[in-house]
Order: sequence, then structure tokens, then C-alpha cells
Amino acid sequence: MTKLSQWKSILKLSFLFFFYTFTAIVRQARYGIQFFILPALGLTTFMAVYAVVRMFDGNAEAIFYPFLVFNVISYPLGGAMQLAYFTLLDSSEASAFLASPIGVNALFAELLGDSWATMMGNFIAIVAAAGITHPQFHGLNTIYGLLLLFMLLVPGVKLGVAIGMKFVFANQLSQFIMAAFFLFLILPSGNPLAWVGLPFSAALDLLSGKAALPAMLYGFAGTILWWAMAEFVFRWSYNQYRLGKGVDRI
Amino acid sequence: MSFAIHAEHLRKTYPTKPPVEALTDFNLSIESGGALGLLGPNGAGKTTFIRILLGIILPTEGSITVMGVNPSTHPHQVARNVRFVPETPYLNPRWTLWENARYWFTLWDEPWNRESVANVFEQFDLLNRAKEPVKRYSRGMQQRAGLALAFGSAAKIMVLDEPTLGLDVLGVQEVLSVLNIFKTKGKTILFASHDMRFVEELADHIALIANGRVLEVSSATNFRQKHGRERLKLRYRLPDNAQEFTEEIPIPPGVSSEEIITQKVRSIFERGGILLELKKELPSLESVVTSFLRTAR
Repeated sequence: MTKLSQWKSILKLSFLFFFYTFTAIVRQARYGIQFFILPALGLTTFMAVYAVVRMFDGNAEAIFYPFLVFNVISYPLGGAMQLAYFTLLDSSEASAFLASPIGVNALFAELLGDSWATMMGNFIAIVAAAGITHPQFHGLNTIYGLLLLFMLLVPGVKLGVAIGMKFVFANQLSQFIMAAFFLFLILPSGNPLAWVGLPFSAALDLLSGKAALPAMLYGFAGTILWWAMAEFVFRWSYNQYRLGKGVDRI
Repeated sequence: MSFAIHAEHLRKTYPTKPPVEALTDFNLSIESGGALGLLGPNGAGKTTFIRILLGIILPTEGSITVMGVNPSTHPHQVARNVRFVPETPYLNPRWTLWENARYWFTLWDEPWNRESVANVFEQFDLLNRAKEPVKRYSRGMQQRAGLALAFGSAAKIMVLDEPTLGLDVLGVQEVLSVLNIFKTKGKTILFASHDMRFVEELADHIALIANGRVLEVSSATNFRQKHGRERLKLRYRLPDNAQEFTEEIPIPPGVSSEEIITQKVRSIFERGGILLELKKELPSLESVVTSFLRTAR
């Protein structure tokens, strides 16, 4: 479904969405403090979680990477699921997107763009959080790890759109995922279950500078698996939607 | 004859429990360059038909082509020729009209020509406010903005769902005059509307839809003549009362209108009254459509 030729349109649309949304925030900021709201929200969330972890004698640094992964993966997945669900619930609005030359990918592009825009604030929060926790950065590994997380953002959004398109409980599920994902990530890293989300764990290892080569390979393999799975579910969901088995079923 | 849209024996059953049959043997052809208004009660199958022709959902049976292309198998190709404007146009409220236009043109994979888009904004009386966020627009302006984006594109077929929703009388007239201009430029317009005056002034043909079927396709005038019962409209004054009286008398089928006129006029004159106005007219499209659909139900 997602042909190579369509990626150009998807990325362009996603960028335009991000750029215009950011421009709109700046435009509003001329009249108030809205410009600071997104980063402030991200930072507040981080500080709240940080405080709770410290309260229970947790490792302050340990919270940083789960928070980063949560922002980069769980939000796009859960957020896209919720947004896709509400967009597709209104068949008029859905039709405006779906009746485009890239079809259902128009919705995917829009939600990908939306994720970029929302995460902008969170990224600023992450940078601020990095300063607080003083994590050790490991040059290339860190860049590769971040790249991996970005690569995971695409199947995350795609999977979110697919679930939002098909399941009537997508809205509730997205909230559950966003909460559960975070709890899962702050499990002790020695827990074998952590490897269920192979690319995530690999990204964590890379970011913390552990065994670079195996982690890179795991990460790469895991990312490909996530892309393949997201593509499969996306196609299946869209086909179900076209048959009349989507969220807007009468 | 070249058809822009041609649907034959379409059937769509939604796989719910129990299954819902939204379209049943639905047949409709729309000529290139014309305007066709879809009329029917809620749940008649208009939206389902529109979604099938846009390639968004698949028909259970039957065939449909849009400019010779099957939207079920080639939805992306069809999307290059068709623009859909929902009853509430989807515009990002925080973006300006220019930003929305740029985004939608990218989505439609159309070359961006700021000058020609500005011309269309001018025609829809939006150019002077195109740099403002859309959320500041009135409901009518947002409706015009949605239409302007669609008509500014190179697509040949426009599918409009309730294009006059939320517009005041002047707004309807403005939209009507612009749409009529685009109709002469060869765009094919398919629209669903409950505003009968708008339908009458824009549509070359109307399609009456109920229970998932097309019951009749004809011009609005022919439809009124065929199904509307002519009536006499009289306005008169009686000598013992300065008040004016207005009467509308339906002419029953098989009865000559002259007979009724003679009878009625004689009765007024015998009472010493003055006849102020006498005319024979067809009922409005709205009342003919209403009684037609009521009978069909």
C-alpha cells in the first residue's frame, strides 16, 4: 500500500503539517505565553514522574530513557490511535482525507505530522530533563539510538491509525496503552520481558552505551519487524474499513 | 454520450448485525459538465453512494465508473479527478487559508500556482482575509473556503455534500453564482442538498433517492410538471369587507382549469367582489418532492 513513490508525499505533508502547526503556535504566542505551554507541559510531566520515582527510592537517571521512549513511541501510537478513531468516526471528515491520490496514507501523513508537532514540546522537555539527570552520552550510539526511535515512530503512528480505523474501543485502548507502556518501560532492565519490545530495549542499550554491535543488530531487526507488522495491520484494517467494518460502521 | 459517473445495479450491504442494506439496485448516470442534485431523506443512501464513488468503501455488488475508472480497484486514480467537499469543510482552524490551500494541494498532488488560487479566492470573496487563521471566519465563510479550495483545483468532478449549510440568503446567492460560473467551465457537479431553491437554480437534473434506490431522474421543471398538481391562486376583495382574500385551489386530475376559473370568478363577481390577481402555478419543488417521497415510502 505504501508505495515508495508515496513516501515523498507523506513526508512532505507531514513536514507541512508540523511547520504550519508550529507557525500557528508562534502566531498565537505574539499574544500571550502559549509558546511555552507545550514544553512546560512536557517538563511538568517529567518532573512529576521524577518526583514519584525518587519518592520510592528509584534511580533518578533510570527514569530518563523510559520517559524518552514513552514520548517517542507510546504517544504517537496512542495519540494516533485516538486521533484516527475520532477522524474516521465522522465519515465526512474521513472522506475528505481518504479521497485523495494517496488514500489512507493521507491520514497517516496528517497524524505523523501531528506527532512531530506535539513531540516538539516534549523534545525540549527531554533536553531539559537530560540536564537534570546528567546522563552519560555516548556519541554515535546515542545518535543511532535516537534514529532508531525515530524509525519506530513511523510504524507506531501507522499501527495507531490502523487500530483507530478498525476498532470501536480504540479510544479506550489508546489511553490504556499510553499508561501501560510507561509502567512496562520502567521495569528493571534485567527483566526478560523487556526484550519483547526488542527495538525499544535495543534503543535503550544503545543510548546507555552498552554492547553497541549486538544492540544495533537487534534494533535494526526489531525495527524491520515493527515496520512489517504495522504495514500488515494497516492494510488489513483499511480493507476491513472499505468493506464497512470500520469504526464508523452504521 | 460520455458519462462522468456511471453506476449500474449497485448494492451495498453493511455487515452489521443485522445487516443493513444501504443501496439496492442503485442505477445512476451523470453526464460530463452537468450538475446533478441528489435529493432524498436521511438514510436514503446518498452518503453511501458518494463514499462508493470516491472509492472509500466497496460495493457489495454492481459496477461503478468515474470518468471510465473503477473507484473500487483504482481509488487513487479516481481521486485525481474528484474533489469532495463535506458539509463541514475540513480546514485546519489554526492555519490561514493560504496554509490550508498549500496543504490540500500537496495532498491532492497538484502543482501549486499561487496566482490561480488567488483568483479563485477572489471569486469566492475570500482573498482579503486569506492571511487570517480560518477559525476567525464565520460559518458561511468557512463553507465558501472549502468550496474555493475544491474549485481552485484542476479536478473535473466536484462532489458537494450540503454546500449551503450554514449560509445566509446572500451567502447562498453568492455561492450559487460562483458555482454556475464553474459549471460553464466544464466542471461536473454532483451535490446533495436539502435547500430546494438552491437545487432548482443549480441542478440540470435531480435524482430522487429513497430506500437505497434511484426512483427518478429528471430536470426540476419536468419533475414539478409531472408530479405536482397545478393550482389556481386567486386574490380578491369583497365589497362588505375591505380585507383581501387569498385562495389556492388545487386542480384535480382530469378537470379543466378553465372550468374552475369560470366557476370561481363568477362566484366572486356575483358577490360584488373585485378580482385582484389570478394565476395558475405549479407547486414548489419542495412540496412536490416531499409528497413524492412520502408516497414512495
